[in-house]
Amino acid sequence: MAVAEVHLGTRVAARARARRRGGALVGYLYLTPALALTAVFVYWPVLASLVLSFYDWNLVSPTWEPVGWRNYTELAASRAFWLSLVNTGKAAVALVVLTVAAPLVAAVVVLRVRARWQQVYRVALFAPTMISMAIACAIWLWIFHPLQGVANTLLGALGLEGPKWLSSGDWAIWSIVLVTAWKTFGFNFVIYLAGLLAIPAETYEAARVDGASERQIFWRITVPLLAPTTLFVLLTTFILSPQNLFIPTQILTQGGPNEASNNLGYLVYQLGFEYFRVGYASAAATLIFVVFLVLTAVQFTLGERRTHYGG
Amino acid sequence: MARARWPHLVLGATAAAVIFPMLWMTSTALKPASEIFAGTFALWPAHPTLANFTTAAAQVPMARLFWNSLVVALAVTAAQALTSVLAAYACALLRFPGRDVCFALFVATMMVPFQVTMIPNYLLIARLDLLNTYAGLILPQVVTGYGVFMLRQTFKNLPRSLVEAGIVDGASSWQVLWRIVVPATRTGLAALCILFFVNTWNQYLWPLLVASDKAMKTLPVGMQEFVSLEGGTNWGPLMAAATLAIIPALIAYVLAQRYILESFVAAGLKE
Repeated sequence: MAVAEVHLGTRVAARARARRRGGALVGYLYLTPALALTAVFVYWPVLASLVLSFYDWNLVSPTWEPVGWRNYTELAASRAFWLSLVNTGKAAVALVVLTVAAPLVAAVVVLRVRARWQQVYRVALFAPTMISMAIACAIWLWIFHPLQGVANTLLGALGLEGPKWLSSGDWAIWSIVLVTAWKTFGFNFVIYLAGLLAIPAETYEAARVDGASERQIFWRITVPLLAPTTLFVLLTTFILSPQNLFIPTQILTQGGPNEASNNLGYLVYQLGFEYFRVGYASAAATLIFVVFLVLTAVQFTLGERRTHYGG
Repeated sequence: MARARWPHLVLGATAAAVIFPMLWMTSTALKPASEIFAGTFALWPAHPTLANFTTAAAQVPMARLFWNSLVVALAVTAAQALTSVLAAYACALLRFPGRDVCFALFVATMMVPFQVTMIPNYLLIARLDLLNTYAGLILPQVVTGYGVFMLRQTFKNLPRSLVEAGIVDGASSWQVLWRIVVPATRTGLAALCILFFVNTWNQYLWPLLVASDKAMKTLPVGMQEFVSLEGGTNWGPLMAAATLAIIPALIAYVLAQRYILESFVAAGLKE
């Protein structure tokens, strides 16, 4: 009896093991297409970029010349790199205010109006998300036009003299930030709206019964309960900022005047595909990756702590 | 119930500012040159004309650009949907060692800026002799960490009983996926596909690098020909072309906006 039981036990266990092994095989079969493609088009390029960054290569020459750390030291000594780094930092901070804080407020406010109007505002605010950034930039190029641009026509009508949006060193990067914010505002707004709708109504009712003011409700209930959404929005806004800044930079200013609006995303393109210095561009790309990885990890750790505290 | 006016003031002003560039584009597209360069503010043209649209079509092969954009966007959407569904299904509903590590590998790709992979991917596509081909435009984007991430959430939110019923009936995991999981999540899937489509349709940097040949350009890249054409930018035709290029995305959006929002709610971006 006992022997039989043990025997049965091992047979069941063996079958379960076999099923698990089979399960693993089946599981990996489902994962293979995505894993293989990710390996080829994401992980391999990250490594290749790292390797390239230690070479000098002009995109056409048959030989690569190993140069050690020279690409990095040259980058560290270049004005364009530091300007780009500072501009990317400035832009990222401005984007956090314009496309993380402002959409949260807009999402809270939109839930206070009637459903029919909510729909109208939602459709309007999300619209720029759906159009091409390159095409949007063509429109903004026209709006910012120094002579016939409508931005300065309207400011002129108010008796103000408009700035040289794209050709002034002080304004160019902020014009790029403005366009980027205009384009990405709606996406974050909708994500916040989804986050807000997921908060149970009873939570608010309980707070109102307890006599909490609107301001208290916002800071003590809405903001903490939305912490995971905020983390997501913050991370995506931040991680995507070099990408999102690229198109406006390329179309509106080409990083000018005199590098005043250059930023890390554009710098890599400029070095690689305009100056054809592939190794040098790869060094810049690798540095972006490292900087963003570190900052993301910091944000994530801080965010996680806040989230647990809030939740 | 007396409702406050201020939410409408705040939202109305924001919405007007957000919509204005698109209105101005349409307005410019419909204006004759004399009104475009008048330097005064008029939202509605005094003498509306379609001349800019015909000029645009004559200067740039709009139909060809449209077709290229459509082929690339449809192929990428289909490929991304397929790879994401398969991977997300395994990550959400199957149990096997190494699963969560693989999921982390997908999610981590969302943190890799495009600029980091751009140069090696360009070199790879060039070496495979795929520059200026649809394959070159499509290949590097056939998988998306974002899609795997979103769909895993959607699949996880399915009632367990639904999936277990299939297993009890003796269905294989493949049958459970296509007969139960996919049909049950079709709204979320459709919304995600629309996002994939719109993202690809709107893409700029990758096609800019890969398609230098005029006949292989996509709409957002090809349109830039108007900018500084023969020294001065041709604003009227440029805005007409922009209007044409934006319309499909805006129509898709207006039709599907409800589902797009719902998919975010359903994916429950709370984890």
